[in-house]
Amino acid sequence: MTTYDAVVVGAGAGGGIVAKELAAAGLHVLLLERGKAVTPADCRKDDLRNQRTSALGAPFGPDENQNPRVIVDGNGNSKVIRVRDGGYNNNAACVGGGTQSYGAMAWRFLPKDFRMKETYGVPEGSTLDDWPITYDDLEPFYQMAEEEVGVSGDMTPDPFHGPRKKPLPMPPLPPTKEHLLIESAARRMGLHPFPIPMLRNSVPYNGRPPCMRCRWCVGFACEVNAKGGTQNTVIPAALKTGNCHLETEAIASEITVDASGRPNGLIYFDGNDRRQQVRAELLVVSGAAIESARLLLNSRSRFFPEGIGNRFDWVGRNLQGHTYSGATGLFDFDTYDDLGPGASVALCDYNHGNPGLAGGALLCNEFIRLPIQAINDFPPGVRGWGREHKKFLRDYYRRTVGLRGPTQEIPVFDARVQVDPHVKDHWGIPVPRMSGGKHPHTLEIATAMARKAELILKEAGATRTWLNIPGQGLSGGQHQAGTCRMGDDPQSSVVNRYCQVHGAENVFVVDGSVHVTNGGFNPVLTIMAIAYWASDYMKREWNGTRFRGA
Amino acid sequence: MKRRTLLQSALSAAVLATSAGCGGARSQYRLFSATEADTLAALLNQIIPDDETPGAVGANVIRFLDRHLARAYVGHRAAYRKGLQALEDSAHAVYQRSFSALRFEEQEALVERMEKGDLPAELWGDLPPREFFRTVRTHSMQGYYGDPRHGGNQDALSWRALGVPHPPVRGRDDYYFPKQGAAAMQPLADRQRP
Ligand SMILES: Cc1cc2nc3c(=O)[nH]c(=O)nc-3n(C[C@H](O)[C@H](O)[C@H](O)COP(=O)(O)OP(=O)(O)OC[C@H]3O[C@@H](n4cnc5c(N)ncnc54)[C@H](O)[C@@H]3O)c2cc1C
Ligand code: SF4
Repeated sequence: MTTYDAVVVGAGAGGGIVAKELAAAGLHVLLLERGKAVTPADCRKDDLRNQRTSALGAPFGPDENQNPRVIVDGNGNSKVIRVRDGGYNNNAACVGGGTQSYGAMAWRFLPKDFRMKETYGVPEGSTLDDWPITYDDLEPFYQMAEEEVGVSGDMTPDPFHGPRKKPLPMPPLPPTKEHLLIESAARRMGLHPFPIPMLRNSVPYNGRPPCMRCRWCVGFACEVNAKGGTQNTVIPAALKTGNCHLETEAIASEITVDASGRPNGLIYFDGNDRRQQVRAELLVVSGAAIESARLLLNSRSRFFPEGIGNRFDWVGRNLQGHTYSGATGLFDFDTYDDLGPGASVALCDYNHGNPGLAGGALLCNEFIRLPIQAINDFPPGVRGWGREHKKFLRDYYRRTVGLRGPTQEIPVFDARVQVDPHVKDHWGIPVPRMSGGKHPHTLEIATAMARKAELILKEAGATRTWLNIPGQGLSGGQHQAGTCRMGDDPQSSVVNRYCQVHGAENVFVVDGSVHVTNGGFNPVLTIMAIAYWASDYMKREWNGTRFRGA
Repeated sequence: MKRRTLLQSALSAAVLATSAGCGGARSQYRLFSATEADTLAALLNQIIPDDETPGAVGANVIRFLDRHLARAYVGHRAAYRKGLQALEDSAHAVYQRSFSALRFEEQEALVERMEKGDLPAELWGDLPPREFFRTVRTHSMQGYYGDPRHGGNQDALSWRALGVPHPPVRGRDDYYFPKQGAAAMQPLADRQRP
C-alpha cells in the first residue's frame, strides 16, 4: 500500500492551495480529484454547455450519469436527480474545481461578516454565530491569495473594506458602459461604487497574459489563461516541486481508521473504477461543502459510528449559499458593449447597517448575459412567450442592465446534507441527500437589497424596472458553504479554528464547508485565504515525519 | 459557411432516406412522426412566432429538438410523445379540429390554457399540461436563442435579430476605452439586423 504524508481530496479552490503549500514545505502529497484535467480546448465556448447554463451538459463536471443526488422537497418527498436538474446544487468537478470556470470575483469578507451574532443577535430559528477567527487573523492570507493567484482591482474608492496592508497587485480592467452608468448614478446618490476585484489579469502577471475581454467568461474556461484559478497557478506549482502527485478521475469514498481509531488513510476508486487504498498521516478534505460532508458521513467505523466529526450531529448542517436578488432595468439607449467579462462595478454600502436587517449584500452589475440567459428576465405583465416576448428581447437585449447581489444567508440547522440510505453512485458510494430551505429573514434581506438595486437603476435612467427575488428553496449551488462549521466548541461545530476536525486531529476540512456564515460576497477568496491559513498551521505542526498538532 | 450548409443538407437528406416516423406517414425526423411534427410546429410557432424575423420553425428548432431528444433531453422523450398527443386531443375536444389546423388565435387560446393547466385532465393523465408547456418553452428557447452548432438558431438569426455581434470578436487587442460622461451614453453602431 502506498503511503503519503498527506492526501488532499479535491483539486479545487481550497484543495489546490493546501496541496501546493504542503508540497512546497517538503511533504509528499497525493492530490485526488474525481473530475478530469480539462483544458479550454476541450470545452468550447458553448452557451448551452457550460457551468452556468448546463442545458446540454456541464463540461466542468461532474459526469452526468455517474453522480446522482437526492433532493427532498418541502413535503418530504425525495427524488433522485442528475447534474443538470434543478436542485442538484452543482459547483464543478475538474482540476481547478469551480475556479476553472468561475466568474472570478475576488472578495474579502468584511470584519463584521465574521461577527454576525455579536453584530445582530441570533434571529429566531437560526444557528447564526460568530467565527472563532477574525478578519485580522485572515488578512495576511487574503493577501497571499491575491498575490499568488492574482487579483486586479482598486479598492480605494470603497470605504467599507477591512484594513489591508497592501493594495491589489494589478489595476482594474478599463470600465464598461454599464460600469460608467451605474458608477455615476451611485455617486449622485452618495454611494461608493468601485471596480470589482477580480482573479483575472488586467496586465501580464505571473507569466500569464491579460484578459482579452471576450463574451464568454463566467461558466467557461479562459483560453488565454487570463483568469486565474488553482489549475493554472498553485496546482502546477505543486507539481513542479516534485512532491505532489495529482491523480484525476479518482473519487474518495471513505476515510479509514487504525485499530486505535486514529484516521490513517483513505479508500478511493481510480479512473478504471478499481478500489484503491492509501495511507497518510494527514487527511485533508476539500471536496466543497456538499461532497466534503458526504465523505465525512460515509467514513463510519466502530470509533465513528455516525461518521468522522459527527459525534454531535453537526456534519452536513447549515448548508447555505447566497440568495441572489436585485433588479433589472430597461434603458432607452444601448447599454451593451460586448466587453467581457461584463461584471465591472460594485458597491458595499448595503452589506451592513440596514435598519432592522441582520446583514445585506454587495451589489454589482452582471456578467455579460448571453441571449439564452435573458429569456426569463422580463417585466411583470409581459407574457414569457409569443410575439410580445420575442419583440421584447429584440428591443431590449442591448438595453438591459441587471444589478444584483449575493445576500448573506441566515443559517438554519435543518438545511442539510445527509447520505442517502438507499441511493448509491456509480461506484456504490451512498450519495448526498439534501433537504431544508431558507430562513424567512434571508428573504426579507434579499427583498430589501432588490429595492436598493432598483433605486440605483432608476437614478441611472432606467425607464422601467422590476425586482428579482428567489424563492424559499434550499440554497447551496456554486456558493455552497457551512456544512462543517468552524468553532471552538466541539458540541456545536465540526472543525476548530485551524480547520481541524474535533476528535480527529489529523483530519482537516479545507473549503467552503467551514464557513460559519458566508458573507454578503462571493466566497472563493475567503476559501483560498482559509486554505493558506490552515496550511500554515499544518506546516508548523509537521515535524518532518509526523503531525504533532492536537 | 457554404460548406456547412452543404453538409447539413446532405445530413438531412440522409435522415430523410432512413427514417419513417411511427405515425405512419413518412417523416423527415428521427423521433417525431409527421403528425407529431405538425403539432409541434404549430406549438413552436406560438412560443416563438414569425414576425419581422423568422420564429422557431424557421430557425429549425424542430430539428434541434429531434436531435437533442435523443441526447441531452432524452429523459423528456416520453413527455413529448404524451404531451403532443394530449395537446392534439385537447384541440379536438375543444375545437373538434387538429391543433395544427386551428387559427392562430385559437391555438394561442389553447396554449394559454395549457400554460395555466386548464385543459381536460383526463386527456393529460399523469403529465400536467403546465409542466409540459414549461418544458417545451425552455427547450425551444434553448434551440432558438442557443448556439447554431446544436442544430437550431439557423444562421444565428436570433442573435442577429437581438444585435449580438456575430461572428463574434475573438482575441480583441484593440481595447475599447469608453469616453467619460455623456458621450459614453450614445448608442453604439447600428444593430446588425438580418
Ligand atoms: C460558473 C461559476 C461562477 C462562479 N463565480 C464565482 C465568483 O465570481 N466569485 C467567487 O468567489 N466564486 C465563484 N464561484 C464559486 C467558486 O468556484 C467556489 O466557491 C469555489 O470553487 C469553492 O471552492 P471549494 O474548494 O470549496 O470547492 P471546489 O472548487 O468545488 O473544489 C472541490 C473539488 O473537489 C472534488 N471532489 C469532491 N469530492 C471528491 C471526492 N470524494 N474525491 C475526489 N475529488 C472530490 C470536486 O470534483 C471539485 O473539483 C463560481 C462557480 C461557478 C461554477
Ligand atoms: S473575459 Fe477575459 S478572463 Fe474571461 S474568458 Fe475572456 S479573456 Fe479570459
